[in-house]
Amino acid sequence: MKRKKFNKAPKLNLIPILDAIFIFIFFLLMSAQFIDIYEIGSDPPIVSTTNSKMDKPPLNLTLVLSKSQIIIKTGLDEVTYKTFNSHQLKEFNQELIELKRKNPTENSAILKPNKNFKYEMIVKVIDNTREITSSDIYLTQIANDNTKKPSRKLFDKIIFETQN
Amino acid sequence: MRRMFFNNNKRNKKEAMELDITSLLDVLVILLVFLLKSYNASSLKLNLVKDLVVPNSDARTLGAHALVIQVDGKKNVYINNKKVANIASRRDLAGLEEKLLKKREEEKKQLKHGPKKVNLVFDKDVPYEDMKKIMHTSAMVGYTEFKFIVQGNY
Repeated sequence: MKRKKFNKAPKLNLIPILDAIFIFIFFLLMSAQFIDIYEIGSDPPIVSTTNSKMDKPPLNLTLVLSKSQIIIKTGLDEVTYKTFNSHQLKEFNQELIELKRKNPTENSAILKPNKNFKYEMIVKVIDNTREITSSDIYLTQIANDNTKKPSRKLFDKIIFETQN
Repeated sequence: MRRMFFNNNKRNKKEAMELDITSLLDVLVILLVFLLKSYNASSLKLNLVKDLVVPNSDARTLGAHALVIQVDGKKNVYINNKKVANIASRRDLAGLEEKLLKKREEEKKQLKHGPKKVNLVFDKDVPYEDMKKIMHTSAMVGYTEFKFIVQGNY
């Protein structure tokens, strides 16, 4: 009488994979940071010494942050361009989009906050100055090689006024 | 009959006991996905001090390793997690400049060109007046590239 032989399904040897996963988990646990940390750069002001004649006067975008207002000033003599309440950040961002459209080569903004202006609010103003906040608006950016590409950047070089 | 019973028993003993690790694998995979999601490629490792809440921001630039100055809600100043001063005290601020200068000299020995970057971690309620004092002191010493550390807004 012949015995029926059952073909057992071959079992995978998972031990090396498990070892690798364990090592990977240890590595990730050691390097895990449970809050996402990013940075906002602020460069020192650069003094330009070129003698070339400018076609257009510089924008010299200056944002004065007073107790409850955000004042946009432009030009070398810092003429008030527009004033917003500190909660009108959407409108403020919209105005900066218009300014960027008119001055596509400009990319810096000088921040002059009031001494009591809180850091959290300064960060919000910086966010609205550096980038377009609404997701459906893009601007055309002209690169050095004259190629055009969509961009969400506004005035991403933030300079603080730190004089005492 | 008796013999058959013993034979069967022997056969059972020969087979190695097998653990069912399927559930363990499931847990490990979930853990792996979670850890991979929270993995941050930035070289900046930050241990926040007590009483410090970092504000939220839309910024997406990863932080880099540099000197870390933290200012908590009680205006205490920390350099690389070591308490060095309180902004309210003028004498402390003078001491802060000295300590920063020392740090810069130490870093200069390791790097060819003096470091300029400094990571500034301020509590969300710190007023600009205090921020300015720290920025001004850092700039006087030579740390002129300020990197404001914020929390992702996602």
